Amino acid sequence: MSIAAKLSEVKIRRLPLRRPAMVERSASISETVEAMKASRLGCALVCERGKLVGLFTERDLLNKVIGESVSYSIPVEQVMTFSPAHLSLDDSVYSAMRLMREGDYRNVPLVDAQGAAAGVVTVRDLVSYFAEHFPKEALNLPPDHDQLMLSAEGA
Amino acid sequence: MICPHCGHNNLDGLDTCEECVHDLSVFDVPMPTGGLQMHIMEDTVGHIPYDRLALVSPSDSVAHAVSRIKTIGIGQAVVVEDGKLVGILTERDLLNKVAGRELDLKMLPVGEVMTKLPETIGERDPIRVVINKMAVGEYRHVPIVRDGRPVGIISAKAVANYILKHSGLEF
Repeated sequence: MSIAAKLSEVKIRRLPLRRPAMVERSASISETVEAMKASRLGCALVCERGKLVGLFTERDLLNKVIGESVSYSIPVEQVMTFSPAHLSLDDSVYSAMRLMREGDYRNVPLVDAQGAAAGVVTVRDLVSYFAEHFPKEALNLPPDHDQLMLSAEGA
Repeated sequence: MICPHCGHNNLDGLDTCEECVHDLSVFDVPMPTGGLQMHIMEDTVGHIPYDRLALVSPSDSVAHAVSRIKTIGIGQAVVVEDGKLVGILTERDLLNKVAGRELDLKMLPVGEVMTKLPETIGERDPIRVVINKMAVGEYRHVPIVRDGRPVGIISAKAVANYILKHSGLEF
């Protein structure tokens, strides 16, 4: 299958996505930050009864919290992005790439068929998908015929 | 693999024909067939637009670095000493080592929280190398250096946009 066909046919749910931090909107910034650190992702999904209501990212942390006179004990809903752009688990890898480019996003929250917060796809997930599924292009470096070894192997 | 010289049917992967010793190794070299493959295998890092750099020194305060990052509107500061790259200070460093702690950012030197000696790439390296480094090392940003001096930084976002641009899905 060509790269273009794969990108537009493969669904986001097929990627090995990491589970993001999910917090309630009343959670403090401090609790949200701890959950983000544990998830090893750069964002947290803010939910209300399982539904996605907001997104808090490293960028929000940098722009609105770090170095500002904002207490880490206030609710995350005061500094999150409301109603973030999102996709469904069944949307294509291509649609994720396009949304990230158009919105200049690094993280796109995902919802399931019932609209419940289900995960996040990051721009690094897309680069890794690409490297894994097109290994000939991305990983195998063509041999250099003129290469000379400076010493014997193992020497 | 059929030998183009004598027509003998060889096992795949042989370097020379078993029948006539014709060189078969060139047929195993991955060759770009066109389109995106060609771009990724042959274009260099210089084909992808660089992000602007926020340059700071290890002795600058984190407060100063954060202000530089915000002014330029990027995700990290590049840390230099005598013009040479010694580290980067990313949003992830700030999340993991600064956020939620009782620290005076005006007194905290960048050198204490930066990621030291990050993976780098040269302007003339092919794009497949940066894709490989990002995938294997889980980096979102790779500084571009010339003789040890940072000249730009390439983001996973820029790489994804480059793939999209050349994917043949958009005209």
